[in-house]
Amino acid sequence: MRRFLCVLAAAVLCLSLLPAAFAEEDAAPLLSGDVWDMAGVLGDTTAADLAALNDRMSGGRLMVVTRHFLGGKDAGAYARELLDSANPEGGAVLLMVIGEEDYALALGEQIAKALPAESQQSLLARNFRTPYLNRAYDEAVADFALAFAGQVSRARGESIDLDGLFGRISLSATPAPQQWSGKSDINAMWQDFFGEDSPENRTDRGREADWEGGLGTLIFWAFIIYFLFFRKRKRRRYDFGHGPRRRW
Amino acid sequence: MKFRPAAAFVLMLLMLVFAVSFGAYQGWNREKAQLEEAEGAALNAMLRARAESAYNLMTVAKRHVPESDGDFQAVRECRQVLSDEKGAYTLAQKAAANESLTAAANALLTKLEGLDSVRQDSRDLMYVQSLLPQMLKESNRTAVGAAYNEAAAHFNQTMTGSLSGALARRLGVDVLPLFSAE
Repeated sequence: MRRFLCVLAAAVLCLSLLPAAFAEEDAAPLLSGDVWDMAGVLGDTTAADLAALNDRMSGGRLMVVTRHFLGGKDAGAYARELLDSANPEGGAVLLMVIGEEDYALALGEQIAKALPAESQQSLLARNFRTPYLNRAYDEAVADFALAFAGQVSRARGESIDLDGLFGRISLSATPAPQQWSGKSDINAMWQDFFGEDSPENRTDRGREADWEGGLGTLIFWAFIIYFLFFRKRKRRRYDFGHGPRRRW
Repeated sequence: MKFRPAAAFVLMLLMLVFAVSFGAYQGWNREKAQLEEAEGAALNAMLRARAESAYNLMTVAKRHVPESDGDFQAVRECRQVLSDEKGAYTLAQKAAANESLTAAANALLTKLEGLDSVRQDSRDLMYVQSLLPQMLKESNRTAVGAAYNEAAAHFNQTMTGSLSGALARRLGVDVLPLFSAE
């Protein structure tokens, strides 16, 4: 009975650790969906048309991310991080850093084969740069997405139907929002501004890690105590018969 | 071999001293590392966010004022100290730069807001009037600095007030610096 209780207690302790052990893996990916418009400069139709375009493309998705600033981070490296968090193989990320007037394109391995580096640069120069710098962000995304899909499909020897996509895009420049729409959740605001958790959340995570480490130690000592006090000792028989105890 | 009680006693004493010293060093060093990892990480995140905010302000300012501008230079100097991750500046210097950044950034924002080139640019005007001040305000988490200082002060007080702490200090475990400009 005692042994059963010890095993049960150990099992409960191990089960209680499972959520903490898998908490990090359950975290949502940094980038999901086709548009992550953190700067709030794209229209709803652009997002819908981009999703429709991605559905028509075979073997790759173009994701568009907008940020106001990157705080000194390299746009290319940041776009690559986003791509790695979402679809490192067959995806592509177009990053637009509105406040820094910078942009970057990151391609997954499969698409990079169809679109080598020099083609990427000329594609951006011809179909993105001018409307982007003129702050016509919807138009810039539309031009680039259509040209990108056409070029990738051609390189793969496939055909793609682009009719009806981005047809309702207004060619006038999208005005920047007059006021930044504040967020009530401090962590969400930090995510918007700095692309990472707020310091308070960071401390909490550190404490969670300490707690997990503490539980590991607790289990270790629980097993030690179990082996020392609760484990049934094997009966060693040194004495045989009824004679005096042997001593060697 | 002849048993010598005096030698055995000295050996035992040496072992005892070694064990106590090693334990004190290990214990205080571990506690210091844990504190630096937990509270120090939050403080570093805050300083990084402050440096990023300063960079963002400089990015907008560069479009409207020359880089030789006095207010621009003041923000740049603060950012240089705050973004240091190689230990070139002390925590006190970083705390001073953090305090100076608020005043320097406000001066630069005020200057930018009065410029025609900014007022005619709806995007940059929004940044100057709304987003950048909010960003600078949010990045300055005084509670994080206070929490670090409280934890560091408690650690320092406990270490200096105990025998094992004094032993650990002699062996090279230093007290934690406070996040304070003074």
